[in-house]
Amino acid sequence: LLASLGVQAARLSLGGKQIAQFAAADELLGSAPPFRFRSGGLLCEVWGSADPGLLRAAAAQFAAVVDQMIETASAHQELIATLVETQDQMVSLYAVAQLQAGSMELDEVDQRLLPLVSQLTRSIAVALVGPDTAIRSWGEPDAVRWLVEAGAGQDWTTNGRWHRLSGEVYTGLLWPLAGRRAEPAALVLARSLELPFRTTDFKLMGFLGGTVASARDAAVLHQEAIRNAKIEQEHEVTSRLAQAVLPSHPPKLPGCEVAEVCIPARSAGGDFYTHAVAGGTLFFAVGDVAGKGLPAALVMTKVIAACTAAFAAHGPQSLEEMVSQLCETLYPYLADIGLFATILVGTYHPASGEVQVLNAGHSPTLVVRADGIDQVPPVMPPLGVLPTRTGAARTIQLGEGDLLVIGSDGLTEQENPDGELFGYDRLEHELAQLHGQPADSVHRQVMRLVEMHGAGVPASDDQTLMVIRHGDSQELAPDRSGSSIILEANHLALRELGPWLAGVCQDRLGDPGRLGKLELGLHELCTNIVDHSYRGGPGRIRITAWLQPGAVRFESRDVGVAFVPGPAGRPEPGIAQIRGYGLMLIEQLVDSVSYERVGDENVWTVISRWEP
Amino acid sequence: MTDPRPAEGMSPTSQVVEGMPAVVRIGERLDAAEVPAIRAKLDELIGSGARHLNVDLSDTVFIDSAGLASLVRAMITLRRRGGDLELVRPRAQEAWRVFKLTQFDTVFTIHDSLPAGTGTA
Repeated sequence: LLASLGVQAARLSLGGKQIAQFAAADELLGSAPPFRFRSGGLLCEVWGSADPGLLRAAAAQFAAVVDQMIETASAHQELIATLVETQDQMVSLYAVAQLQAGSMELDEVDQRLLPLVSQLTRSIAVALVGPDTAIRSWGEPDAVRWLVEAGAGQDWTTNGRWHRLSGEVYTGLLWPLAGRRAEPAALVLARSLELPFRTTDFKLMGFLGGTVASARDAAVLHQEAIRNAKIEQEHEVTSRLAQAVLPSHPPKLPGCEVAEVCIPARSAGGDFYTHAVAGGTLFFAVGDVAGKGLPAALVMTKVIAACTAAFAAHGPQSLEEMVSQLCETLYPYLADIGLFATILVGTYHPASGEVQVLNAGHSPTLVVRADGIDQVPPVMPPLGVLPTRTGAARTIQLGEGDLLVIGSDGLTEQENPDGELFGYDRLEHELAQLHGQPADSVHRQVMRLVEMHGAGVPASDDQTLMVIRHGDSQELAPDRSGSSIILEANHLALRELGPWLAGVCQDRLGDPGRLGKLELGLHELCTNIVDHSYRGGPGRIRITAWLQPGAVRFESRDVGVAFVPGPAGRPEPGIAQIRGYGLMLIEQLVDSVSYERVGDENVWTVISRWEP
Repeated sequence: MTDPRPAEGMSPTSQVVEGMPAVVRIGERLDAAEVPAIRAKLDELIGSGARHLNVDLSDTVFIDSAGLASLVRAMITLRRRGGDLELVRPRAQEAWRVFKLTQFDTVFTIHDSLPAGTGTA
């Protein structure tokens, strides 16, 4: 082409470096100046005797053609290097992308990744290296050996930059992985010298490095999740074990009733109660180990064990010795771990009604009598504060229906959504109205009132309540003792009526069918209160039952709007009418229903009688 | 302390059994708390053109006046359209008592078991 244009010599340079030559250009250098033409980085020089215009055109054309060739070639090369060339590599790339690293162990991830990386990068050996050690490798043994050795000499942990590795047989590349969870690591790859790593390989390395790093991170996260789940499970089991040291049933002694509950704020807690019965005497202790959760619960189990030992070692008249023993046993342990435990220890003799208590920093503790409430204040600091007992036992005489109520501060410190505490005053006020009621009923009502006060605010501390009632409520005259339930004014809550009624009446109604009648009758009464007295809004209904041979009387109190008999007449039985059956049903189910407005309370009285 | 109330959403409710005429099966309780769900179900069936409905109370042990009213209401609507709402008698005496006391046992068409030709479970 050049010759036909009259070119005698030509030279092609790229970036100042000669890349091609036509004829004897060197000899011409000294003679006439060449015609030069530039295209990109390409310089084309031509010498000749032909027409200068022709020569110039020839140079331009030559340069353009060469430039085009170079551009095409380099683009193609880049394409080849960057894109995945073969089906195998496509499969590998897909496998890398699909690797479910989130469900594997790190080791398995590494094991699966290395062959894929090798395939994708056309490396004969691949290794994962840590700062000081090779983690795992894959490929030709000789190349692997070289790779690990060459990779170990590089400082990549501080600057995180890639390195080229050069050797006599292999050429290599070290690529640090930017992982966040897994230990620092780098990928090192080896190729034969014939296939050196090019800049164009780096795009692929960037992708692979990121994928491998995140796959390894995912594996580590997965392992951490498994480990945490195991710890959580063990924590749960341990908590249940700790909580299981609390007695599962209240003690049974003639002439008294005991009800008790301990609700830890978490799955375990420091609150506790325990008891033992020996020779007609109830030995009991209620306390609170400082702190919450499992640590407090573990200490609590130790305190209960010490109580059990103290109960077993002493008679009913030796309360002070019992507490002395507790102090001596527990002080070294508690002082050592820097914890203390409030505790009220007592003995109760139902036959005489005599109670002895020794209160070491515990509250609330109240004696509920017909004419008022006494507090049982602490007489010494909690266990763990002093090495010996410093307070004296106190004797309390309980009368029929009197209550000894021992709670924990989790009850009085229950907050409502406005941050107001349930409080000691409220507890005393509520208990004052519950004198004489069965222990179980007192216990349920207090817990319910605290729960209602909280209105969904979770308890911040463990809640414990032990109620000891002197005298068996089932033997009491009906005018002195009633069993109560507090219902929230909604339809769903009314389902508590049936189980409550069954517990109160048991089999003392003469006819087993009477229980169903009473449930339906009270249910209709309460439905009426929910719908018409509270009009679907919030409120409470307190129902009290008095049972005697041949009769049961119920009283329902609510503070909704006053009852007004509906303007619509009572329905005629058997004539289809949609409303108004509630009161008609009640009247048919029980012997009498009466209504009275007392102050701002609606008071309904329902009586059912039968032949005893 | 355990809460004897069933958790929200766990309460027994109606179940429609495919077939003609449709059968609505009531759970253990047909009380005021259940009424909204049962009323919605009956309204839906009536709204979709049903003229005959069967309500199966076989397993129901507690019915209150609100529950009864939801049945009466649907029965009146269907009878006005020339159809009816028929009942399968509750096995539990406690639940049957409400029908006797209100004398609705004489108002509803009541079967001892599901009539033939209705949907099977």
